[in-house]
Amino acid sequence: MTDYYYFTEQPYTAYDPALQDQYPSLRLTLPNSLFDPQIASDLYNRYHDEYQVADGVGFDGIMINEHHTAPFCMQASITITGAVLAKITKQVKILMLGAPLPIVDNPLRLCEELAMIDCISRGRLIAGVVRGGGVESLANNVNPAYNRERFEEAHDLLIAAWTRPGPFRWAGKHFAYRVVNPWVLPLQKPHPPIMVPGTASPETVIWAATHQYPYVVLGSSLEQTAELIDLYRETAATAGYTMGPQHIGYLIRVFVADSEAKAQAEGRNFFWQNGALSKQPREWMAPPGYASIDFAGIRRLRAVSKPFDSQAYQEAQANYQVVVGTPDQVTDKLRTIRDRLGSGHLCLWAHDGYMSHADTVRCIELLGREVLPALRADAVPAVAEQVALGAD
Amino acid sequence: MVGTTSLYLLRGGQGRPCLVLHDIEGHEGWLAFHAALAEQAAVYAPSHPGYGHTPCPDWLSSVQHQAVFYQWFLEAANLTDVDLIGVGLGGWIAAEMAVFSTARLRHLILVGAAGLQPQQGDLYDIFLAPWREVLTRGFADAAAAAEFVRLYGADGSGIAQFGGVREAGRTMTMRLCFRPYLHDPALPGLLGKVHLPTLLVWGREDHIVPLECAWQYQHALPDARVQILDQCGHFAHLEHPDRLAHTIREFIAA
Repeated sequence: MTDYYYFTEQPYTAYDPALQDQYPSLRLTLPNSLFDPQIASDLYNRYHDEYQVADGVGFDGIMINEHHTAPFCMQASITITGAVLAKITKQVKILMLGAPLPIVDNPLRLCEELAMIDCISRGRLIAGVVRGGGVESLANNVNPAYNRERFEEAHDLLIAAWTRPGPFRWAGKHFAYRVVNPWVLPLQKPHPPIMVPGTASPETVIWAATHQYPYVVLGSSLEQTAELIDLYRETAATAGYTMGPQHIGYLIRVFVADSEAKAQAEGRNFFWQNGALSKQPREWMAPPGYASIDFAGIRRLRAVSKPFDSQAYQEAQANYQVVVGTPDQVTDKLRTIRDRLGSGHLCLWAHDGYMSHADTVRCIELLGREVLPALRADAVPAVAEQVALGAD
Repeated sequence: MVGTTSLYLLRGGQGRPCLVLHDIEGHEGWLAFHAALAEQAAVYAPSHPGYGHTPCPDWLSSVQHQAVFYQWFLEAANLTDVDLIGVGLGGWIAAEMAVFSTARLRHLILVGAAGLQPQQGDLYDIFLAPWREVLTRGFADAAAAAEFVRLYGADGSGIAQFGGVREAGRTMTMRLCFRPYLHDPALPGLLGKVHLPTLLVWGREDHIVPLECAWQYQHALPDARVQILDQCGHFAHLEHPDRLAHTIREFIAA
């Protein structure tokens, strides 16, 4: 069984992306005097309304995230969006991808907030965790050179706080508590499921596989994703278990409309930042000591991070980074992706840029009422067969 | 060996011992500046622990630890009457060393030293800029500096943006200097303890550690004078190695 999640970055769209020409990047330096809280108030509430639509039409979950000093994402706190979803939705899982652990100075408070969300939502939280790009550390003045150490220690504390009866003492390298004894604990036992998103960092794949946490590939090409899945499978085998579809997720940009022409026109919104995503200085995304990641590799993977032109748009569709069309067309492509990757979690990035509320709602409805039922009606291949497909 | 750490060290010249501590980028080899000093001194040019040549002991995680490490080195090598020279970050380490103890020191020379928070301007944020920009910004005229051209090429194309030993040095600088940024809030108060003849040398066009920090160091130190080098940026030891060595020799001889 594959679970299907709705995702939007909650972009703030009332600025001119051409401003990126005046700054090293739209991160960190774009003056926040360009932010209009009146517009943001409307956008937040609109996006929350659209979450409720996704909840009502049959999505399995809603994926949310967090970025800082980033106009393309207004979610400055993943736990605030999570708390809103806990109350305004009824059925969907709340998939955090993820809580950026290294930039948190008090992870015990994060444990408490996540536990509250799990209780309020009656056990619908998936507590994904993420290292965050280096720029998130810079924005929060947390030393990027200790990013991985802080990530791993905060994770260990999270699990300990949820599974070891308190009170106990925590004396780590980066975090220390006289008393770990959070009163509020998660509803799900032993603790909410955990997932890990990533773009290309092999060390994160290995870490996730070692912990048997599902790894969700964010928008890499299918070929690169297949390589990461192979790495997960090898690590799982070394750890003594067999990787299954439930361990692999994939985030894909999708837009559905009643006509192909409409879908093709709206799909251009996935390029609304006009190349801004590729304009991220290396020293911000991967500062010295941040990681041994192949930064050039990440850039290469993001076809949609290019400025828009028809060639880039066709390329992104040809390599499955953007899927647009009628419900039938989109169903076929998503089926191909799901079965090729053997993915048990498909995150559908079904809103971006200047898509209107009406078009977004229609897209969500078509996905929920036509595309997802068609995908779910497929005979489910045996796990072993899916693994073999992923190995191609 | 310093404790259990094998210290990478270049040595040259004869005379009074002179310990030269490098800046943010790491060890740059045997420089014209070292050679000029070595005409009249026994020059010790080590690579700080964690900067690629010298391993980083588990316990070392701060500039103060670096200072203790080098005090330990002076003891282990039994060096006395040392003229201690620090450039940029190395100047900050040298100042912390002098705070711990002046027993083995004869003179203190700080060149564009980090360690203090400027009152008016800002310490340039080396962690937000490409390293090529950090390095070129450290010169009044990089292309005219023979050492810059020798190390990086006239157009700076030899500057490694990332990877290799440079990445190790920058990573260690990130570990040591990220927060509080490139300074020690306690240092101004502690410098009053340093009764040692001190020379503060600054490039007039230091766009990384602003010139005002020279006056702040002078204000905080009991016995310090300031020497400003014209047409010179932050990396005085690379931009004007002979002028800087000459200035230091004159100070030591006085």
